[in-house]
Amino acid sequence: MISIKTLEQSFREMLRIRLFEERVRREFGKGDMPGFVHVYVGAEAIAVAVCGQLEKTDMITSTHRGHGHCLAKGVEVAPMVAELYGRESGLCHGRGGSMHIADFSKGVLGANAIVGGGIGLAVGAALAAQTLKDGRIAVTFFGDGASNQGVLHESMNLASIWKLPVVFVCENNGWAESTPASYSISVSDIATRAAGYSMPGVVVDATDYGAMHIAAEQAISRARVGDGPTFIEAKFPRQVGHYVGDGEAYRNRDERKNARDSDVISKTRLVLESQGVDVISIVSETENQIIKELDSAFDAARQGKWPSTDELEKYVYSS
Amino acid sequence: MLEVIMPKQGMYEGDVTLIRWLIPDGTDVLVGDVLFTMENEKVEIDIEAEDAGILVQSQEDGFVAAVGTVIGYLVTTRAEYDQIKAKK
Amino acid sequence: MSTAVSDQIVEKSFLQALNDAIAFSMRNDSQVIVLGEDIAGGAGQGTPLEGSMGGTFGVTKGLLEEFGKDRVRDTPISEAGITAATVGAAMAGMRPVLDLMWASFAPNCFDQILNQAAKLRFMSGGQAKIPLVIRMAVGGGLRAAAQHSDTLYPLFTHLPGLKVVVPATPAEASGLLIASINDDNPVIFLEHMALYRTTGLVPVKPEAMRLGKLGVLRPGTDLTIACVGQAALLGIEAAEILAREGIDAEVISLRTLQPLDLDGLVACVSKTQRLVIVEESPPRCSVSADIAASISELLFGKLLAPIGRVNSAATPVPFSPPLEDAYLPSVAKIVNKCKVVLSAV
Repeated sequence: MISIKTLEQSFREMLRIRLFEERVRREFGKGDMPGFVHVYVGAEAIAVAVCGQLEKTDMITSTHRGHGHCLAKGVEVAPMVAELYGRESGLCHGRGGSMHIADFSKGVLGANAIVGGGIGLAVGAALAAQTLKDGRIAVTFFGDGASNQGVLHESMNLASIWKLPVVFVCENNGWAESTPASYSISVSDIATRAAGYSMPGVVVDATDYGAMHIAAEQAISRARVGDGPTFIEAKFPRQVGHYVGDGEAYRNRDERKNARDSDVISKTRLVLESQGVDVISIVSETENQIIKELDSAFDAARQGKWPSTDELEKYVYSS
Repeated sequence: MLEVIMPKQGMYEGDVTLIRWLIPDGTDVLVGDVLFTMENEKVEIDIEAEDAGILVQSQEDGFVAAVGTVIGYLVTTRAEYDQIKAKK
Repeated sequence: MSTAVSDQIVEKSFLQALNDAIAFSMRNDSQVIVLGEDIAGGAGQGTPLEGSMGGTFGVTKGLLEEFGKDRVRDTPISEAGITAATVGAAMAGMRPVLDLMWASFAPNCFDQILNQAAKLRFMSGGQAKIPLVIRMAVGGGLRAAAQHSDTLYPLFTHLPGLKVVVPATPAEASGLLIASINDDNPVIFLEHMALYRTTGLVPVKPEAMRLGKLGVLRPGTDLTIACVGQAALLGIEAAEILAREGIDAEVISLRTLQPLDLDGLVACVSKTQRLVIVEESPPRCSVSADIAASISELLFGKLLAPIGRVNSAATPVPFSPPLEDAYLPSVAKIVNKCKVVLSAV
């Protein structure tokens, strides 16, 4: 069981991510954010539980749906938003956008638009940490869609034989864009595959913050002491479409409504209230703070300069 | 007061069409109620209310415009509703 | 393995030059690690079985004994996984040298090469530094058949973000590999299989040979034969045949395809005014096509003849010896092409 203090702090973090993503959704609709975005709504407990227990120097790789991981790892709001708008002031100077967002100063080795693309990179980062003996660990986030990619299996095997300090976190929301997990995955619990690679596989209800926190704590600690990798399968129902604007024509309307009923933030709120915590104040404080940050970030992003076309070739090579 | 817009869908950046309003003008709307159907390229999509309030429709069925264009408002009081209606 | 010629230089094989270059780099920088399938051999069994192979061709022999298991790692057969790990390790502070065995296996990890290694620095706005080397054996002539004989020179050269190195001699192998390991970019280092046993003079004290500069292996005035990697040895033989007929051909080893020493090539071809390019790749969208287009643009008025190209045939590499020989660039084909270029008015 986690302490109420921890739960409260985590609730704030999750709410912050939720408000950020809801704002991104709304702003995206206005039409001036280039390309497309994928928001992290409903999965907040995973990012907060895992990244919240990592050091700044620990490394993570993320997916095309990476905003939540970034925020939970301490990435700042303003340069994130600027990157979504492709501005020079963005984290990646506008070269990457939402799906490739990265902040190496906070150990975020990048969101990756190739499904499963980040998995092997995190294993490599763990290899570096092990060889350098510097105490860092790596975590890779990926979805149920990635669970069938060959490179995941190669990476799990490699991490296992070398006992690398890495945690595999599978965020299973039941959908790979329009394809249900129930159709495409040969097992009902992806974590059962972990046994095939001689590592612990843990299924967690990601709508239960406490459970998520404990699972993350154990996996991180295992990696840290050199006992090797863990596979966490964090399950939660997908609340929104695959990308912002996805009408989900392929999805049963009621199933989607029911997804909202298991929302982790609502559930956590109820738990805190039952413990006598003044949730209303917490929500109001968090909202006020993040909304100010967001207002300023979106304004700055919209006014921000585009990268100069003279610098088109700037980051292709290290000199 | 919240502006009701025809939002950008995925990567498509062209004009979109307000096919039809699904809730009558002046109705008290809840978050999640489906307000209207819009179309871009070939796909029709239902748009839900992001907020609660009284729906003010400022454009009619069949309206074509760029993504992000305002087609209505969700206001909190009857007075605001009347005010906006009066301006038209 | 090597024969001292003087205090400064020694004669050694291409293979030994590579081996020495890797060991030298690993001694000087503890961040350099090597990994790949069978690069040590006998993994997990302890000495003397472990380390007994040293790579498919022996390029990594002796490294396990000197540097230990943390820095010399045999891997499972998982090209995608090990290449991804190489990229991740490079981003996290190592200088890994990955052995992919054969270029023909690279498609197993093409996402990791194209979408990750080549692009991550750019997409992250310069935050990612990816100092890795991927070594692969390339080329035909050993009757290894289609899935073990690709060079893929144009595929790698095409991708912005990668550097591509094609040594032709033991000295180039040594110097260019050291430079590649020191380079902060992802480098594709392509070793033609027919070169491993060739010998040449190499500095006793290994030193880096700057990437992006071509090497003139044989000076000449009548025409320039610009060669990719091992093709340079064929070029030299062709030049000797032409010399007996009074034709003085310059033979160049391009050394790096990315960055390409276009300035150097322009300087050479400005003087000879005729160019033949030799590359062991099928002709469509090949490196020779790319260079021919660039030189045509830059030296249009100065050229005395259209640029000649000697490429492989437009087929997968055949197995049967007469077919494979017909597929490959050859000394005879180069001589003929040079004569065509020389006879153009």
